[in-house]
Amino acid sequence: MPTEILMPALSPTMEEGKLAKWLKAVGDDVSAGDVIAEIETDKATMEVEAVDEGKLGKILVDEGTEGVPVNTPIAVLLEDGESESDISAAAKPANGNAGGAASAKGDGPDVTGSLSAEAPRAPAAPASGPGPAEMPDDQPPEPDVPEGTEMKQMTVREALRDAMAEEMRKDEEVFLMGEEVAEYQGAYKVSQGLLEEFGARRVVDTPITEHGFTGLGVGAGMAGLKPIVEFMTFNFAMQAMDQIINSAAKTHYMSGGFIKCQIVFRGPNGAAARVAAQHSQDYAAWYSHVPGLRVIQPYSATDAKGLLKAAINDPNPVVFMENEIL
Amino acid sequence: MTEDTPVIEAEEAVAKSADTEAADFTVEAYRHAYEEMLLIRRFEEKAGQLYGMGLIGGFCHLYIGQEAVVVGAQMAMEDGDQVITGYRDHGHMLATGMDPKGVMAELTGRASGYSKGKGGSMHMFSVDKNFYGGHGIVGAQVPLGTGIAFANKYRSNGAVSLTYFGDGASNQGQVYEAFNMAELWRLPVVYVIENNKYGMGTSIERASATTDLSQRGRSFGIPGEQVDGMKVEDVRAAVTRALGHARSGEGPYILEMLTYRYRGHSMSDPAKYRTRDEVNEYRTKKDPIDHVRDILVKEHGVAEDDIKSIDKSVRETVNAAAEYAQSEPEPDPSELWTDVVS
Repeated sequence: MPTEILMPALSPTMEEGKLAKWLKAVGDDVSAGDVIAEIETDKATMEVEAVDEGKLGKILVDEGTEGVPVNTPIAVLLEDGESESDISAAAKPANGNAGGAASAKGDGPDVTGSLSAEAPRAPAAPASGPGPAEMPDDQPPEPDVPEGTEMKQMTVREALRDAMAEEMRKDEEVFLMGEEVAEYQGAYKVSQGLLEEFGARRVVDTPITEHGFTGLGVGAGMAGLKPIVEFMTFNFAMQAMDQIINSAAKTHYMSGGFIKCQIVFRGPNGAAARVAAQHSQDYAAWYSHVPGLRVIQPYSATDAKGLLKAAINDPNPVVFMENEIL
Repeated sequence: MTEDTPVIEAEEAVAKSADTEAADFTVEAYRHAYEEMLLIRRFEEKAGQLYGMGLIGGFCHLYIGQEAVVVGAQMAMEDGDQVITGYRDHGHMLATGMDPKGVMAELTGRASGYSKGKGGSMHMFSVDKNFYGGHGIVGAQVPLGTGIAFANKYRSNGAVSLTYFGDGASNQGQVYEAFNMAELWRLPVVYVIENNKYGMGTSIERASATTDLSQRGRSFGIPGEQVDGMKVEDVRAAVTRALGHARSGEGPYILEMLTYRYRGHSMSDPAKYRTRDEVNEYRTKKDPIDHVRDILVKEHGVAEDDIKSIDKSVRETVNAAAEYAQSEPEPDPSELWTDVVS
């Protein structure tokens, strides 16, 4: 019986993606593990591997199509002896156990196993639907924006990247460090393109040692540099809290104001989707209790860009918490 | 390692190095070292006295016995090199040239202290003298000092960060996270481990699975050596080597200074964990200041009167600092709310 290949969810927050490229053509033989297509997710371009074998019978979604929802059938695989005529007979009741979803990384229950019509369509943000870019619709107009100003649509992640890039262009002492910020382009794709523009001296991949690299960043800040320390998520900053609180926040006071530390600690914070208690914490209240820290939680792309630029220019340590789901 | 006492190791280190290290240590260098070490000794004795009189509050960790370490290291440093350390920090401040009046005034919590009376014994800084504290969390200064080295490399300023910590801190996890990044990125940092044999009241043998701390960087490829930290000339020579290594772009270097503190961990330490004989052995046979004084008098023929005039001038400096620290005003209570953010 022909097997449907479904649009896979390739990240925990992906709801739809662009079918960037087909790497197999109709009629090609496909073995399990073959890369059959490239899909652009909200974070990166990923390869899709087949999980079943057969012959590619029909492509249902052309390459270049954007906004393909997760779990949409994108192609049909034929078993030996089947032909295209079998597809119409079998394809439509797709609510059954098609089970042909491809998975790039074996992401688990999201993409493999039984998929039904009600299959959860990727971890949904509350009030899912419009992405952050469309959000300004429900917001009051900015009072200080002159009438007729042309507004630009931008995701929060682009806003964060642009804020860092603009400040790094202006000030040689601003640099970014953290896990996967350089060659991987950011675990959440926030630092995309920064390595290319600023080089490895100013976009620094660190080992996975939050306590150590946070202390190192604070020391660089005390020596007068303006570090941006990215945490992959704030959950992991708990290992580094001693350096954030005891070294970064308190030293200014304990030195009578003579030691400054102009540093931004930033990264996603708050509940994510279906990742259990260790990866779902909101630290806003914790950090807000610490004298010497400024604590920021931007919501929209506009806020994210403006506040991150302000944070980088603030002479104090700033804890800048981005929303895990935006 | 387990059978030998650390004292004997230090003697062996001297035997190895004495011929070469002492050779280029001039009479002027000895005189300078004597004066600097004596200043720290007398300053700390006075601090202990003021503490006993209730004029210094809070914690107060004295440096007596370890003077040769910071003085020898400072003699090897170049302008621009930075120093950062933990909470036994008065000696480092004086060695970097910070004003004894400002340090003592901070100890007594006065507004004219280095931190306006808001830092106390463990938290003083001087950007002018490249002294970055003064940190109260064991081991925290190691990533911080590594970050200062990162800034040096970032700016290509040719400076090296001297990052001090003790045998107690050498078991902290963040120390090894810092070691890894320092070697990975070839940062200009020299780690000076002041091994005074006791992390608070726990001897190194009871706290550390391996007690040769100079080799703690081995798994990262960081070279290290043990140094007789009671001999200022050995310290200067070793720090000169280490600084050269770090400054040339070869990355971090570890120096384990074998030293000893005569006083307790802090003022409230009854020192039940070691014998009086052990302390007296160091005081009478290994004292770093007596060692230099002997060389000045016996080998260089410096007159006793010359030595006494140094003693007198140091005592006057310390007394002036103590008077200053008692006569200056305390900070206004409104200072509680300043310097929280800038």
